[in-house]
Amino acid sequence: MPDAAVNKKKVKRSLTSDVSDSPLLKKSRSEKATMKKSAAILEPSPEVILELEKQISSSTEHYNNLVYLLHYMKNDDPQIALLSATALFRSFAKMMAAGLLSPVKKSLVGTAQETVALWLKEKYKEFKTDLVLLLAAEDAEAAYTSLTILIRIAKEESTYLSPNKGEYHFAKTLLKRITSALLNLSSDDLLLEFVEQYVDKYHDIRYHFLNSACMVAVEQAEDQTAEEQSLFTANLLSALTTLSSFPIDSSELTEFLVDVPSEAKTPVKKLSSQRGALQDCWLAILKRPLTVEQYKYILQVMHKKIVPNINKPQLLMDFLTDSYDTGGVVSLLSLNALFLLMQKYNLDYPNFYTKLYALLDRNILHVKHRSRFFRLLDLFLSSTHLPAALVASFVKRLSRLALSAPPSAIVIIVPFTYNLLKRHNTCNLLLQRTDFTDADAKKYGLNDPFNDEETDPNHTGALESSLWELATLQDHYHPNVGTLAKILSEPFYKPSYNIEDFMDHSYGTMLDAEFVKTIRKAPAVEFELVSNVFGGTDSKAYLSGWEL
Amino acid sequence: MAKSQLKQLKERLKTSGFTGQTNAKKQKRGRVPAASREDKDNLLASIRDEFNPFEVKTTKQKHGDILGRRVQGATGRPGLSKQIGEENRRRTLQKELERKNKAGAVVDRRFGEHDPNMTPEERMLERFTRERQSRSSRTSSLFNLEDDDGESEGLTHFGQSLSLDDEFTLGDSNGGLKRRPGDASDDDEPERKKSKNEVMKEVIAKSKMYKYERQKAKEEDLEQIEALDGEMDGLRSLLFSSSAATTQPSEPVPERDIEYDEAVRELGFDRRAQPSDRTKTEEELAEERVKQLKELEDQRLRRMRGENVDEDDEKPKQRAPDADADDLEDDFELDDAADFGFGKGLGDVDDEEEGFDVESGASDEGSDDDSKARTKKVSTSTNATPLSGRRGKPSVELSEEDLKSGLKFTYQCPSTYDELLEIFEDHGLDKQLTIIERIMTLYHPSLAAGNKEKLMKFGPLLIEHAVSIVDDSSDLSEDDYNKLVKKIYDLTQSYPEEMSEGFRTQLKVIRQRLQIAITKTEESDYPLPSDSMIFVLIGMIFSTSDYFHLIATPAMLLIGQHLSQFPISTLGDYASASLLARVSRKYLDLSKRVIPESINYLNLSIFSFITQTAAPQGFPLADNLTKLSVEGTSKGISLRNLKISDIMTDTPITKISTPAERQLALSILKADLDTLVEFASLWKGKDAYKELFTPSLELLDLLSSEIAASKKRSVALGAIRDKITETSTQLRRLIDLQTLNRKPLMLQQHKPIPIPTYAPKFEENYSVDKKSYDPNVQRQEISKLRAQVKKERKGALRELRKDNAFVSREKLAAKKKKDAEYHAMLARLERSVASEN
Repeated sequence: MPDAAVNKKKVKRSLTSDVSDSPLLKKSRSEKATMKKSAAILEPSPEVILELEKQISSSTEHYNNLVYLLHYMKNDDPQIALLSATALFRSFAKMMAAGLLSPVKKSLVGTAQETVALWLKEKYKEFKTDLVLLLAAEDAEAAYTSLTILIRIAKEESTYLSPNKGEYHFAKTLLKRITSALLNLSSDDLLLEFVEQYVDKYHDIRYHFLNSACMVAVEQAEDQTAEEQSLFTANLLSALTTLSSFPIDSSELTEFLVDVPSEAKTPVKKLSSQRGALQDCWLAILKRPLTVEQYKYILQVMHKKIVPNINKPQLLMDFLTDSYDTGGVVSLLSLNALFLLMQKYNLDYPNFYTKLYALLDRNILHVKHRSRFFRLLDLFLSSTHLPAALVASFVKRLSRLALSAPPSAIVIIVPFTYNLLKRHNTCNLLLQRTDFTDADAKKYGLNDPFNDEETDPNHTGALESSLWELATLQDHYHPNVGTLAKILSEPFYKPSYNIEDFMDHSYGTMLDAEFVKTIRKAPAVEFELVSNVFGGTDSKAYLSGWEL
Repeated sequence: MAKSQLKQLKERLKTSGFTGQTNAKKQKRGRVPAASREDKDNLLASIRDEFNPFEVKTTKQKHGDILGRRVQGATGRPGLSKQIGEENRRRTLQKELERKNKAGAVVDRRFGEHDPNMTPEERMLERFTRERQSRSSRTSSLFNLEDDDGESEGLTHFGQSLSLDDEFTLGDSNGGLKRRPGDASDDDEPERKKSKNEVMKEVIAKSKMYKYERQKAKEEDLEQIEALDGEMDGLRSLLFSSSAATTQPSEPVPERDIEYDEAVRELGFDRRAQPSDRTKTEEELAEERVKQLKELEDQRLRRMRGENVDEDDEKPKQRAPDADADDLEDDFELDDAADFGFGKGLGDVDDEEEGFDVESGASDEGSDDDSKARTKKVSTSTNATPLSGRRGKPSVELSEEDLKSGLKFTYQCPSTYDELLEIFEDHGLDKQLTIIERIMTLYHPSLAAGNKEKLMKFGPLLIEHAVSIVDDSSDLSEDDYNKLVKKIYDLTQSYPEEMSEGFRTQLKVIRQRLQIAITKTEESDYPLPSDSMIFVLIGMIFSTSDYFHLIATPAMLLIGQHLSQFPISTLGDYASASLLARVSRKYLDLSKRVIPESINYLNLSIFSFITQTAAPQGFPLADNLTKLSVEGTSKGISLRNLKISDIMTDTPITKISTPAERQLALSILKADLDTLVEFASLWKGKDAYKELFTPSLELLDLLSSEIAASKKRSVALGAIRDKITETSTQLRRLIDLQTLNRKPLMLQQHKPIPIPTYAPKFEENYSVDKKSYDPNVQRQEISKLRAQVKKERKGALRELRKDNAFVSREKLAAKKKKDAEYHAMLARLERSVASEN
């Protein structure tokens, strides 16, 4: 089968071509029948379509019916269009099985049979083009049905139109066209449907989908407008993140759309090539311009969806280190994947702790991904081989930040500090300093030995300091937070606190906890009412400086 | 080394004088008395027993060999001890058993019978002389009872002497009876302590006497009843013959007499006039007041520290005991956070609604219709039951003025907010207060049942009203508002539960509105004056210094959430945040606790006046912070007090143009600076004082340097320049003062935690015999005593058990014997009958 690279102009031309213009039509022997059927062009109905289909399968002389059916496919009534599409599919499937669409044998060159075969092929091409166009139809059902038909065609084609008879073949070209069409749609509903129904299910479709998506991304990169590009990227991103069942082991590669003979050597059966396809696809995405949200999203899913499923995660190193150096939320998000690389792929990250320390900026306790960060920080600081000065710097820095933190963040910091102090006994100096004389008061009191500006956690002088901030928070306005902070002045009996239990609090959950309490005993009432609400200049009023 | 059995026996016999040759001859020769033979037999028997191996029982020790020492088990002679016990019981218990249920006994009261010092001869002699004496003193016949003198016993009944003339014996019946002739001589000796037996006897005697008296009285009654019954027939004939004639005269009892009787009876029941407490002097009253205040303050302090004031108070959940070394520490079900009373948390991380970059749709709560706007507020109570009639009409005076203004005497107690509004109609707040007063009078709980419930519903409506009227505060007078707050305060004191529920409902409404405003899921007019006003009311009415407080704690959380998450975009937002910061300061007035959110807000407030973007460390800064842009001159602008209605201003803070707006912006800053100074004076003595206020100080310095550097800035902020300088000097001085004496923390000044050891406890000088190695002497003594008590107790129980067994055994034996006798008797009778035949 000749390669039918489709571009839009060609599609348009085939759309405008008139039925009567066809030279074949005049040559055909059934001119009368055509004329008779011309009435059907005006009034297509399910019965007529069925009749036409039946005629096509009954004898070769009715092949001209294909032209009418192709015409009906452009009908405004989606039902008619779909019916004729289905009828055409069945007809062409039969022809394929009969070998009518296979390349013409040399012995038949120049005969009428060759002419018919060429004409049929042209119609078949036209049919495929129309179907691909239908994918963009507004009617969801039409689009979905055309997708289904296309996949079935792909299956038939792969089975019957193999260039070398009997060998394994997959209709890559058709799949690429489908992929390209789906990725350029303005909404990703159909694409996600495709991913869920076929890509996740059939390993060969996934492989070819990923490959063709990667190719399309590269090919279309130049001649797309910025808008189209961002649409394409968003679609591809959502498709890739919807991929749910990426194989972990090659033994899982069993389900294929087109049966793969056991002796056939095809990349579809290899896990490494599957992973390679995914890797290429992700790298293609990362090369494209991304919005901040997409960027954050990729970082968020990277350690779960990307790193474990690609051949060479090392390729992500540059991307991740760049992200980590960006600072702010992006750094936080890249931390997860970066850690994975360090842990499993020998990534050596110089000054890791310095960078980590720099992440503890003024807003860290207020951002959304706070708990995600603290989970990792807990992990990074869990080693007992870390120098005490470094741990003390982290503790002191956190304690500084806690002084301006919401209660839900203080709740994380206190048990976190407890665990660190318990693990690193030397750091207990932060809570208990006995080697101290009054002469040192100036050193310890007025000027906190801890240097806030120092970026290297090994040289902040935190070990000389004390956790005054956390001691102050023992008087936090929220009683439970205050009580929690008091664990720092009690004997450290407990081996460790489970940080996970303290992670997911917020104003909302704390308020919920307050509001579910039942009023069993009346809350205490002030025993003397201030006589004035608004004071203006009166300082005895409740709100001095305010007027009604 | 112990000798063999045989050798021991020989030795024993020798020492007892049975064997051996030394004095054999002498002994043989000498007459052996019968008694000594008996003794000899006994001795022999005992020796025999001693060497009878079947008599001796040894408990086998499980570990007979301890550290190379043979430890013997306890040995005993169960047979012997059993026998001894049996004999003892026979001597005591059996005697008792035989005496049981037997009233009388022969008491040997012969002279000197129990006196061991007298020989039988002396006894006999003494008895003889006594008999002679009594004989000789008796003048008349032997049977003359009257002449019996005190020496002899005389006749008694139930332990009482029957002699009529003897007063002494009547008064002290026992004395006469019990006194032995020997010691009867001294009457005037101090009364000796009665033995238990005597006391019991006395009691028995008394009870018998009472019983006898009761019997007698009953008999008398019976006799009388019988006599009356006998007369009954006669009476009946009288009754039936002239019933009309007899009833007539009893009827016309004069009314006056009845009244009189009643009056008399009433007088009888009347409580006597009691002397009332005298009027207290001024000093006493003041003292009492001081005392009461002190007590209340004490209670408040205890609440502030989180201690329980009452026992029935719900206890703050006790933290789980600290883990031991033995704990396996696999507490996958225990939630560490739950120990501290935190809720469940979010569960899923990604749904967290907090943070600057809140994305839309993050909030899962705040259902749509509940939280539209204040106009459709959730009403606290919905069931509107129309009141049927009014009972107990109290006197409410209707003045002319009232008539003019259309006020009514009576109102129905509203049960929904709509009803309340209907009643208030268009009246001003002063009129509304009158209405409220009337409703509270009309439905005073003492007037009718159910009034209390009505007022309970009325209270929360007042809260809602007091909060919502500030939205339109144009014609409100501060005095009236104060009075309204007072009314709410009174109601809260009377019905704290219901009013608290009302406050909580209001807080929940605010929470939803805040949530919507933060997430921007819907159009929101969030910071209305009413949204802030509820916090003011709570702060005034409740004791906000409490450690745990059902209303104040959530209110504080809401203030914190507002201050840290609600972005300021208009001047109104700015004013409301300023108000909340001030209110949070008032909440902590007494408890002096720390609220980071307020300080963060105050820092942001100063920072938003600074044009440069770099901010000193120490407070969070959102990326998308909008700053205030104050253009134009501030000349002639005087800083004013803020108004509640300023919260309604919706000028964006980036577009401040008119002088009035400039004045407002600068006034808010001034208010914030005041609040800052107040916080600074509140938190004196906090360890992290420097860290708390240094950012603010740096910001102020930055601002004043900016003003100094730029002409334009100095024109724009000229009005507040002095205030800024003043605040910064104040703050600097305070920071220096507070940090001067700061010392490193000494939080872990505990006894060092011992490392748990699993090594076995090893005694240096172990002895098998030593029971305890307790170094504490007192404790050792106590445990010794305890062991002794336990031992004694067990012994006593064992004895009792044996006693019981003995008694039952004896009873069985007695029964068997009786039966045998009976059968023998029957057999004998049978035989005799048979032989007769």
